[in-house]
Amino acid sequence: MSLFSKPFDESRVMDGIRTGGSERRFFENILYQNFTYLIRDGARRHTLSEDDSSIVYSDTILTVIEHLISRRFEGRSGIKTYVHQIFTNKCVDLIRKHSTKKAQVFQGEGLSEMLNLLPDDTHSAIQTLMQQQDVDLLRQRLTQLGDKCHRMLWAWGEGFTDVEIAREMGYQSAAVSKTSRQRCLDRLRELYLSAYKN
Amino acid sequence: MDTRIEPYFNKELSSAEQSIFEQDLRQNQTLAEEVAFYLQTRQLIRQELLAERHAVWQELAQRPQPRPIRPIWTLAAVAALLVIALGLGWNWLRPTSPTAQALAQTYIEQQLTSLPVLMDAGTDSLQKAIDSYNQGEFEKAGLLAQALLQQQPASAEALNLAGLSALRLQRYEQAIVHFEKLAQQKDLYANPGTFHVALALLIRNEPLDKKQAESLLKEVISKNLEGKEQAEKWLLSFDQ
Repeated sequence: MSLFSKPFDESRVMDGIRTGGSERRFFENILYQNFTYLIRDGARRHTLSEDDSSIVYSDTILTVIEHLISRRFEGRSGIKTYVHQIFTNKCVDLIRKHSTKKAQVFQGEGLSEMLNLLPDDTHSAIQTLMQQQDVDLLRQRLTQLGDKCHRMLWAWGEGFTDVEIAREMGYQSAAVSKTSRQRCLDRLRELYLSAYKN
Repeated sequence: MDTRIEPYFNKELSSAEQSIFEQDLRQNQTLAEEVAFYLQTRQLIRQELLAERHAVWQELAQRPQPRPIRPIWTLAAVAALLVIALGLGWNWLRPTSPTAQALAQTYIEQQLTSLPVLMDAGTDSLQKAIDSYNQGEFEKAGLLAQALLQQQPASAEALNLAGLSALRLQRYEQAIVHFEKLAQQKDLYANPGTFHVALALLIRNEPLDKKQAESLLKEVISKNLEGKEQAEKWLLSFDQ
């Protein structure tokens, strides 16, 4: 690295992540590396273990990436402020939920937000159904999907739109991409249910 | 799976479509199971993504980290500080020649610790003063010399001894007064007065003392006064 190269360029990193393509991971890694001191901060200020603080930090960066891609982060604050805020919130969440399962702690704010969209009287029924599902089995079946479905669902999970997925994966249109993704979900459900019933 | 699920969570349904969907959700168990599956799948993919990215980033963190990138002005400032630090360090640490004060102090220890007994010491008082001086009793030697000066104010030996005693007692002003009176005597065969004033100034080492001492030492050399040989050595060492 040149001594005279530019320091952390916020807008360049944001654009690099949003643009996607082969350079996206490069910019994600730059974003990750720029605030790694938060791992020590989390361990010191919030008395988390190094491992917990480390995964909270990774979760933070992943969330920021999701928000960048979905344009939820609009750049009104600096990215540093945004990262710090999310990291602090996640540390506090972890402390509050320390007695619960770690998997629930790192469920991500996306799930909570989606559950909150549901009518109040359906909340508990949906959550009960989710608890009845065999997550390990679902994880296993997820690996049995073909490479194309796997890539598509991963891109969807990362927050890419159907337009972007279509462009990246060579589909004719966003509609085709969306239909293909729904078929992948249907295929996954079939695999899961057939195994679950047996 | 019901194609309305994703548009519902993406808030892409109209309010009428949304109401119908929510009503169906309350009544249709299959739709509720599909919604639960959809959310579970999204959650699981998110966890898998996090696990993947965390593993990659952990590996990345193990690699040697690049040093923080500094703007060029920071580098320039660091370079300037380094130069200053090196300069000061060189100034502090370089092998230095002894200071003028140290040279003068060494001269006193080597040449003026023990004064020769005067062959023609006219009085017992002067001899007693010299003995006291040679024994390190500078206070007593000074008092004896002062007493002698009261009787013989122009006594070169008494002035010199009074000056040297004061010098050893670090009473520099007093020493300089005695040595200057000695230096004013023109009829002496060998007069160390000017040289001893310079010596006192070098040991006192106040601002401008060294400069004034150098001037006196040059006078010693130019007038071929007592201490000329030592004055030449010192001036040479001061120039280095």
